[in-house]
Amino acid sequence: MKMWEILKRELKGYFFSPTAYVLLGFYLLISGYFFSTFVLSTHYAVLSPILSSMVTVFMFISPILTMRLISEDMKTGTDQLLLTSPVTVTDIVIGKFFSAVFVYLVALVITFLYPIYLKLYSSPDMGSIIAGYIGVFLIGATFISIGLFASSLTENQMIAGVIGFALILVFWLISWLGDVFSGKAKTIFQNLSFFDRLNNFLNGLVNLSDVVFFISVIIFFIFLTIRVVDKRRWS
Amino acid sequence: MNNIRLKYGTNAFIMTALLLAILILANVIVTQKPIKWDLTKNKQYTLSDQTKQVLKNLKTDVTVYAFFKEGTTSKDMVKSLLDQYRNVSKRIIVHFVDPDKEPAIAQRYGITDYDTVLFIAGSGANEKRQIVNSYDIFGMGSQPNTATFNGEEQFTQAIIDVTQPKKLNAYILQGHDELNSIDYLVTFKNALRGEGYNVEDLNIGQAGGIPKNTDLLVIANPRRDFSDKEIAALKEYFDKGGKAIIAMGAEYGPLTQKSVNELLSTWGVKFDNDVVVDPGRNYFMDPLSPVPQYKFHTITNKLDLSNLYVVMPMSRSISYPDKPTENITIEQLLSTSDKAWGKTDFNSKDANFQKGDIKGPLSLGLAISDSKTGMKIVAIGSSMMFTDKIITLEANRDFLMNSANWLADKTTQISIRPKSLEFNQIFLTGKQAAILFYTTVVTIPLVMWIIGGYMWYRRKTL
Repeated sequence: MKMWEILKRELKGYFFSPTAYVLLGFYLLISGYFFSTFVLSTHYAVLSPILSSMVTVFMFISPILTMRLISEDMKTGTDQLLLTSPVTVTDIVIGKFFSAVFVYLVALVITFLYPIYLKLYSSPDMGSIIAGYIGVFLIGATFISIGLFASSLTENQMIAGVIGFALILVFWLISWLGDVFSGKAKTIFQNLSFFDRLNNFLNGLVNLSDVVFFISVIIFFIFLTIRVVDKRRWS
Repeated sequence: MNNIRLKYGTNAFIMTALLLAILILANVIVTQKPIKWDLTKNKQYTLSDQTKQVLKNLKTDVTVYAFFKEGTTSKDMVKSLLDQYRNVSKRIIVHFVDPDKEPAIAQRYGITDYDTVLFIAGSGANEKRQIVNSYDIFGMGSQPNTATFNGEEQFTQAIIDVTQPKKLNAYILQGHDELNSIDYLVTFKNALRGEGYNVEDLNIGQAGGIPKNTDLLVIANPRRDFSDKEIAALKEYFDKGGKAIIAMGAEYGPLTQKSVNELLSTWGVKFDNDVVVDPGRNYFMDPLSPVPQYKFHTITNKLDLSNLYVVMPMSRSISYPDKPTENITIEQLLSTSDKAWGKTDFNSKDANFQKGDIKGPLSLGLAISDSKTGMKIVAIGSSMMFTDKIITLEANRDFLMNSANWLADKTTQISIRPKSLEFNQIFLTGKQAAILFYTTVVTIPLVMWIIGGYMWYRRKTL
């Protein structure tokens, strides 16, 4: 129940200030540009190339969305207030995580207009579009959990943003390592690659293992964030 | 203080390691037994029940070599399909090979084209191979510029073929100055092995007749007479439903007396004593290397659709009766252009059409079959196209292998509906396109920024 209070507080922070709107507007502008130019130039009623570009755009936006989440509290000292209140660290971190996820979800819901347009004028494969959206949502939530973790590391928002982006980039490029190595190492790196897994979703295939993988990464980074924030209590 | 820090630090570390272990374990468990939901309209990622049945009944390992260039769409599609095969049966072992990076493997199996998939089962003398070509994997769609993906049907058939215990035996006839199978027919023999044949040389006299287990006989340009006993053995072979590829080129001049024509006379078919000159359709402006047109037949259909042609240097024409006897079907496979003629005078220095030459269009390939005995013969007017250098030109090998498969009745036993690769298209009027562009690119972001601006203004004035 305490988590809801944090969530509400954070959402107010997002939506009663220009931050969320500026980011959403930017995200929707680029996505809309990809969508309309792709559809108008190729005449294909498919969404997967656009969903893929949307993920790339969100890779740049998510660190900005999450960078202030914890570092701001640290800077303004509200974290001391929160930590001494009856809310647990877990409530705080999870509440903040879901507030950013909610903003992302709002952005995705607005882009539902694209498949609606396709459906209106053609007969696209709605099944693979749904699978694609599931993948785009999961990978976005994963980016957010990584950005949240980065935000807990420093009280400087800018540095938090840069660390978040760097961490996401590592997971992006890790599949390239798979090409360098062979055998077992190759399999491990390929399994860690976000984008191979995203491709399955974009192609219309929802693998339980891919879903579990993204949720595992999210749980892991939320847990790390909790540990880092918690650390401040006893240090 | 330090003690507390140490205690908390160790606790935190242990908990993190524990969580990581649990998460890795969970991931490993879910990858063991793949659970997935195929949301695509035409169930792109779901194998048919027929394939699953075949895979579940596998008794031997099947090794698959897929020869693909890195990063192509065709590779992605084939890989995703083979992954599904692997998920059903552990007996399927898949290796992807880039022929540019690992030419040795491609060479070992005689693979010369990209997008080829090779299936191998068994080892040593019992090894069976089956090649699936790119034109078998990708077919033509119902609408122009669309394609179908026939991978599943072809791969499952290949797995059935290589795991069937019976192996086909092909014999290459020797002893009459035929094309030497060691010096000239290496690629051809490898290709036949790739189609699941066991290939050996055969000298009828030494073997005391044609072996009972013969599934295919290859007669490639004999230049000496057959003996009476040999002719009798061959006739008996065909009377009992024998299958053969008979090729007679014109590179060594006129035919001998007791040549294959004596055998073929039973059906009224005859290799003409000529060399074909085709100024209309030929290879690199060489009228003595005709590039024949295809006639509609199982052997030629797919090659025709894929625009793959055969090159037949030093060809002879083949004549056949319009109305063959009962039970006998004679189908033309290859034909020259109207402009071609067959030169009958081998000593003439003048290549132009002369009196006595045979007027085109000429037939360069025939499929002869007897519905009563099961006898089948593919007669081809060129023997050079079998040789190592020429067989790799254009679709020569494919044509010869299709012929061998037709003779062996190796037509597809299973039928799995090909998956269509066509994307649905969207066509908008100018007005619709403008609405789509302005709503997605202008209106929506603008609305967001206006609200954002309002929030900023409100905060400032508050």
